Formats: sequence, structure tokens, C-alpha cells
Amino acid sequence: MERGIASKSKRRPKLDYISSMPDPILIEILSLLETHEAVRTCILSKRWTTLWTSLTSLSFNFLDFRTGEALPEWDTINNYWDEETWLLYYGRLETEKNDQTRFAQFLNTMLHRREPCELHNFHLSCTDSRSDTNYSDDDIVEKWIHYSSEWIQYALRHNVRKLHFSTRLDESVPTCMFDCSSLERLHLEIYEYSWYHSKGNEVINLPNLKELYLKKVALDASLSKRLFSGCPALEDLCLEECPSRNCHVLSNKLKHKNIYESFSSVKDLEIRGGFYKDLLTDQVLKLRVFRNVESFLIGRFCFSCHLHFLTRVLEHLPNLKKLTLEHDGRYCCGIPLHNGEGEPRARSSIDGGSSTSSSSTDGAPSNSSKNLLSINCKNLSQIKVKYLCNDGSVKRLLDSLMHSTMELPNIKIISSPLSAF
Amino acid sequence: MARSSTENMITLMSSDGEEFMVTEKVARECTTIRNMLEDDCVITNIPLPNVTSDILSMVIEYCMEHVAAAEKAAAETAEKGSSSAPAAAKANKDLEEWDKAFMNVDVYTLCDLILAANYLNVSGLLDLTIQTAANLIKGKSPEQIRKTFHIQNDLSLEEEEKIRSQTPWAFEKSE
Repeated sequence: MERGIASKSKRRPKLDYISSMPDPILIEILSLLETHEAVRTCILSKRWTTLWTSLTSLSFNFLDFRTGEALPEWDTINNYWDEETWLLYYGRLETEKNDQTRFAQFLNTMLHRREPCELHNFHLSCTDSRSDTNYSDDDIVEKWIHYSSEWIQYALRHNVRKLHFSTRLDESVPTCMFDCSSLERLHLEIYEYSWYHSKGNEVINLPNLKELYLKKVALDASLSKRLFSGCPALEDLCLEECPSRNCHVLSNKLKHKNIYESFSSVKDLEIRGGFYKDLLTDQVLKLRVFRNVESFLIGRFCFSCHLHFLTRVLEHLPNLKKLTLEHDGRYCCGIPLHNGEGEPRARSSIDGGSSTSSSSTDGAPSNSSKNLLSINCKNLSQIKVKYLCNDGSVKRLLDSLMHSTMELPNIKIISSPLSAF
Repeated sequence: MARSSTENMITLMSSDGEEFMVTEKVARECTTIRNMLEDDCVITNIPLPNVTSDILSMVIEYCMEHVAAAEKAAAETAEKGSSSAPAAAKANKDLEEWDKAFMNVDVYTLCDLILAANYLNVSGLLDLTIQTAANLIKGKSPEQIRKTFHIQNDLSLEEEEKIRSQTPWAFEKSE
């Protein structure tokens, strides 16, 4: 079919078409922009002066407001700064304070002048990836805590559906953040050296939450229990670097039925970070079988010593279709490794299972123990293995996977290097 | 559920009286038309007084492409028993490329397409056109935006200064 517009291509007078469009459409266009950019359209013409006050999506990133350079890095070798570096440090700290003030002014005025209309999307990033130093300036810290709490409360009051909050300071997460019936997607990220630790008094009530992403939130027994029983509609869950040690309280199935129920609708399960082993085995797996999970991703999977664990997890995911295992070579069970090698003891037991196994580097007996991996997911059709460097452990893992999935008719095993670093 | 090969044809009539014959499946991509068909299933001729023939032909082109892509993906899944991820990813990328090329239009056509997509309620096309319009504003100074969309600045210098002074925080960043 020939495109009508191209064949006719009539010249039109230079009319201001866009301004004649109805408000809701223009507001939708502006809502796709960074908020400060959307606000700037107020001087285009009379038509545009107040459109920004009805934006349905607000996005604020402190990085956009940074003018100064990053703080100097602490000299870790000498544990010492000379006078000059200290002066530099104070100067840049001052700049950061000014930037923070401007950022706060922008948000406060913006929210103050905004029409009391619904807010669909609120994105607040108070991190500044350029300053990597673990410093604390009481004034800056206190202000962030005060402001973030106010801004997030504003979003919650305006029935926000999608909330994204990244911060360097775990104290700046307000306790009310987990109590919002309109919220459908929540993304909470703590940066750098701190973790969010439960204050014990959060009210967790997220009846419509479908998607939850947490990074660096310490899931202690009490918090995880309340969190997962407070999200009955959860479908997508992603946990990154969420330590969950000392979890023994969840062993009683009946008492914590709600946790199972909140997990029962999850289809895509994504767990990154080195602590999943504790989380899954101690809390989740004791509870029930997850019939709905179709896709499962494990980040920082240790190819050498997690096979037994994988077998246990897969027993609880009978309808799994896609499995992804990622290993970035840096961690093993949450412990950083220097050379990406796993525990020799565990590795030797994998060798036994791979029929095509070539001579193992550490000289372990090749058929001393039986294959640790067994997979019984009938619908499994794809396994992806992503690795940082293609060392012997990758080959052994692939062999082992192939060996244990021989019974499955449509299985595809794909391995590829991890990109995007 | 499966439709017979002799699928219902629907005639859509533009504001300037041109007629477009499309399959019911393509017409149903427009939620507005789908609702009409569900209210009255014998309807075969639909006048669309808010859409010109130029724009209607483009909307139909968009709907046809997306229906075809969806059918192709469904056929592949049925054939192989399961969809293969790389093939699906490639099909998605192809469709994205097509969308991108489809959006290579002047701002007037773009505005008309937004209005038509909004009126006919074609959610994919509405998202695509609105994002394209946002991209045309992104990273531009107010003067560049006015030029792009031929916006007449009817604010006096004093008025503009006043607004700027009321919202200084928006203009502090380099424009």
C-alpha cells in the first residue's frame, strides 16, 4: 500500500499544530521528559505556561544538579591526606551542599505549585555516583533524610503507582514507604556502603504491588515475614544484594502461610547478589512448591559449588520453563574471589557426573561421587549460562547440565559471555 | 476461536469521504472500532469524521504491520511448539525498526497521528507518537522547541521574564 501522505505531500502553512492539541495529550508528552525539562516549556508561549503543573510523571535525579567535581578519594594506601587535599575536600563538600540546596528548592517549589492531580510515576534518585568516598557530613545527611521523607510522602499521598527511590543513606527511607494501596511497582535501591535495616515498625501494606525490586535491603526474619505477607499480588520479584542471614523463624509453614501465598503468584523470579542461598533455602523453600514460577534467574551463581543447591531449588519449581545462571567470576557464596576458582572439594564431585569430562585440573578422582545435579522440571525448555571468563568450571557446568537434562525433549542450553559491565 | 479464511471486511470512511477496506482483525486494533463492533456486530461501514484519508491510511498501515507481526509470531510458536527466544527477539527488533522508520514524518503529520491514535484508541501507536514528540523536545532550548513546532511566542518580554523569575530553578541548568 502506498503511503497517502507521501504521494500527496501537500505543503502546509507553518501553523502551530502542537499547541492546539488538548491538555491531556500535551501533559502526557511532557510527562515523558525529565521533569526540569518539562517545566522549562512554560516559557514557550501562553498556552504552555501552566501545563507542567499537571505532570503525571515526575523524575528527579540529583546527578543532573551536580556542578562540582567528585570528592577526592581517600588515600587508602597511606591513610593520609595532606593539607591541600583537605582544602579540596572542604571546597567540594561546600559545592555539594549548594547543589543539594538547589535540588531541594527545585523539588519543593515544583511539588508546592503542582496541581493536586494523580501522580502515576515518581522517580527520585538522591545518589551521586561521582562521589565514591565514604564520608559523612552531618548537615548533608540530615537534610537528605528530612527531604526524602517529605517527597516520598507527597508521592504516596497522590496515589503513586510506580515509585523508584535510590539513595546512599539507608536512614532516608521513610517508614511509611511500604504502606500504599495504589502502589503497583516499587524499586528501592541503597547505594554504596549502607544497607537498609528494618526499623521494626514499618507498616507493610502493599495490596496492589505487582513488581518489587530491592537492592541492599537486609531481609531479616521480621522484615521478610511482614514484607511478603504484605504484598499478596506480587508477580515479579528481584532481590539484589539482600542479605538474609539468621532467618530461622520462617520454618513453621502454617504460621506463615501468607508468605507462601504472596509468593504463589510470582511468575518471574530473579535473584541477584550473593546471599540468595540463605534466602531461598532458609525461608522460601521450606514453605511450598511454586507452581507459577516460569522463569528463574540466579545472579552470582557459583558454577563450582552451588549445584546441590540448584537441585534443591528446582525441586520447588515444577513448572519452570526458563532458567538463567549468571556468574561474574567475582563471588562465590557471597565471598569475593580473586581468581574465580571454586572450592576444590565441591568441584571434584561435579566431575564425576560429566561423562565427557576431560582431565580435571586439580587432579581429583573423576568418578568418585555421583552427579550432584538432577533436574526434574518437565517443561524446562531453555537454560542460559552466562559467564565472565570461559574457564574450566563453565565447561564442567555445561557437561553436568547436559547430562542431567537428557530426558527432556525440547531442551536448549545456551552459553554466552556476560556483557554489559 | 479460529476465524475462517473469508474474514469479515470492514469499510472505514475518512472525513474527506475516502473508503478503506480492511479486515476485521486490523480494524479491531483500534479500540474505538472494536467497541463499536462489539456493540453492533453487523456493522460493516464506519464513518470516521475526525480522521483525514492521509492519516487514516497511515493508521491502517501501522495496524496491518502489527497484526502481521503478531500473526507471524503466533504461527512460529504453533509450528515449533515453543517460541525460540532469539527469533522472537529478532522479530521484535524488526518491528521496532519498522516503527522507527514509520515515525520519520514531519511535525504536522506527527500531531495528526497523535490525535488520530487518541481518537481511535490505538494504544501502541499513541505511545509511539507521543514518545516521538517527547524526543523532539528533549535536550532542546525553548527557542529550538519553538522553531521545531512553529510555536508562536505570544509572551511579552516582561511576561517571559516574570515566569522565569517565578521558576528560576527550572532554568538554572544550562539550556
